[in-house]
Amino acid sequence: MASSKLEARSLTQPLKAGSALSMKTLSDNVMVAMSALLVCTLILFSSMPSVAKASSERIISTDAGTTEILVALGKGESLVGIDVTSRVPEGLNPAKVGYHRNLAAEGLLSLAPDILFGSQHIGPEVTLNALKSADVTLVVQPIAKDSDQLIRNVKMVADSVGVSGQSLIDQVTAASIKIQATQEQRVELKAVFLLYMEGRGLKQAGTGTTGDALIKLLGMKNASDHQNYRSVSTEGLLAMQPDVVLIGTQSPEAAEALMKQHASLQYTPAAKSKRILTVDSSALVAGISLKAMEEAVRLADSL
Amino acid sequence: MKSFINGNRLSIESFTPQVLLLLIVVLMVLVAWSLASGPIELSLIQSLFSVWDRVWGSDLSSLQQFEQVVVWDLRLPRTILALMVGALLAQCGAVMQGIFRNPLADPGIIGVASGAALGAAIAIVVLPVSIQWFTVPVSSFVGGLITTWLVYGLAKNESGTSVVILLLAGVAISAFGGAIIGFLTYIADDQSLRDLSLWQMGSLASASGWDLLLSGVILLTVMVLFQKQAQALNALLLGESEARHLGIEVEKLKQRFIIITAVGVGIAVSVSGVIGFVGLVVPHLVRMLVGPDHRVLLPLSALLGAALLLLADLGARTWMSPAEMPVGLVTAGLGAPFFMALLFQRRKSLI
Repeated sequence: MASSKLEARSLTQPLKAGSALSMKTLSDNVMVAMSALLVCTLILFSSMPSVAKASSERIISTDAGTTEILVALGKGESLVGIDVTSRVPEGLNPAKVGYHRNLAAEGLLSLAPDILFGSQHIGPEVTLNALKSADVTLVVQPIAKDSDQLIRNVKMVADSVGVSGQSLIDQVTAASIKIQATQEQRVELKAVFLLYMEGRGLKQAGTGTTGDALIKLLGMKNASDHQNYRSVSTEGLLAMQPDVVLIGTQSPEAAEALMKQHASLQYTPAAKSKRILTVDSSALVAGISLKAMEEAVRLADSL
Repeated sequence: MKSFINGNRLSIESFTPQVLLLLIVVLMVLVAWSLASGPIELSLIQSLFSVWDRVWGSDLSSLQQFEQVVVWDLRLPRTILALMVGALLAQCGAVMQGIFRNPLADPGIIGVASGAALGAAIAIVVLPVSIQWFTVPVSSFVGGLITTWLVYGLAKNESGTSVVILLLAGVAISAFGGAIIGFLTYIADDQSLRDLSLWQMGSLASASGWDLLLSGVILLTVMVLFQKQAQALNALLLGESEARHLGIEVEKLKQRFIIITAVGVGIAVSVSGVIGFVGLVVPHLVRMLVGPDHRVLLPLSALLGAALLLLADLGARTWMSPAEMPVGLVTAGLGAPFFMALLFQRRKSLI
């Protein structure tokens, strides 16, 4: 087991300490004592009843979407490290390994992982090489921009950790079917996705963003023609005359504050046909994730 | 500046060897400590054996393969890079303080740091991500050189280069560079923005063999060139006209030093991002110990700069384990309060 690799090494160390340096034997004795204590603690903890797992796998996830999938597959207990964007339910307490594009190799290795999941942005190179040389399985998946890629990601994660992802895949497929059932009503609609962050104004989602992916998932057209997120003024929004306005906020109260602040939004076609809807922005952090699918279903029902 | 000359009451010859020895010992201890510490617990003796094994092909170490990788590929390059960048920045800082005869001068005063930051910003935001490993260092180095050339060009006239104009030109060009970086920040997408912020905070993590070789060569060159002119720097402390009367070609000296500093700091910034306060604080510390004679100030600044940056890097990678702090944050966080304390203590004598 990976977790026993460390103490197995330190137990064999004193057997090799044949040399005469007293400092060395002293430090080795201290190491023996500490590693004995560590072994006892680990035995104590691993014998405590926990969620039944076939193997004590240690997983690090540096992608928010993958973390969500792992938790949904019931592997939350095996997570020993997550990146800053990942969210885990209450009760789980994995270590925070930092920003996924700038991971510290030694930090990751100190958690003794068996598998490390990441998106295509994972870096830097030095860290990836160090992980390979430590025989850590590295699973890299693209961030999902549509439900098909999400299903492929779920399958890859499930296969990597040795569980069946079928029920989760079925859930995603069912959600996707639900969305497509009402698709015809929305096909001609021009939609705009706005990301609203308190104090930083409105940013409109252009191509290549998750907001855009959400609009396409719902079968609508994105009214913007630029790439990435760009600041937009209320005037610019009015000029676009969107039929649907999706607002990504962190809380429903923020949405109300936004509507008050940008009162002229009521002159858009979207306001007239009551198609200004809010979306939980934390669901869109990792591309089209499981939570994003749920939000999409909810939106499809409302539109 | 008077305090620099009134400085120590003890004669230089009696104090310096002890300080030199102390610094060398401290440096060796820090290097060993740096190789042995990090998020993964490894025994000091085994880590050192592992390095010995790689160099001499022996098999003394009992570390596992991945642990040896950690010591050789992760910790050792970082340690060496910290030593070299620290030494470079501290020496350039000492020289800049000598040329400008201003205790607040740091290596970035000639616009190098902001030019390098601008070059890196352009590379990160505008140029494609796939070649970033190459474009960012090159672009930041070129940016540093161009900015220094602009600053120097602004300050130069027929009767020489006024250090006051040089300082002001540095400020002006830095401000302009800042405005362009601000614009790039605005148009950047989220990932480039994050990369840029992280780069500006400085990091010694990605030290390739090429980076180390380049930094080593530049460090040696810079140290030798500076040391040869150390006496001239001493004369410059008296004032420019006095130095000229002593037979020193002040203009040529300034030009040479500015170019060498630009190259040295440009290389340092391009391999490690912006690391502040080392060039500012270290010369002051050394002056407090051995006085203002540049013949000893320069080498000792290099040693102390190396030691301090190594210490800062140690902190940066262990305090937020398993994540890592950028080392520039640690140097700023420690350097700024220390500098304030220094100013406060010596405020009467600096007037």
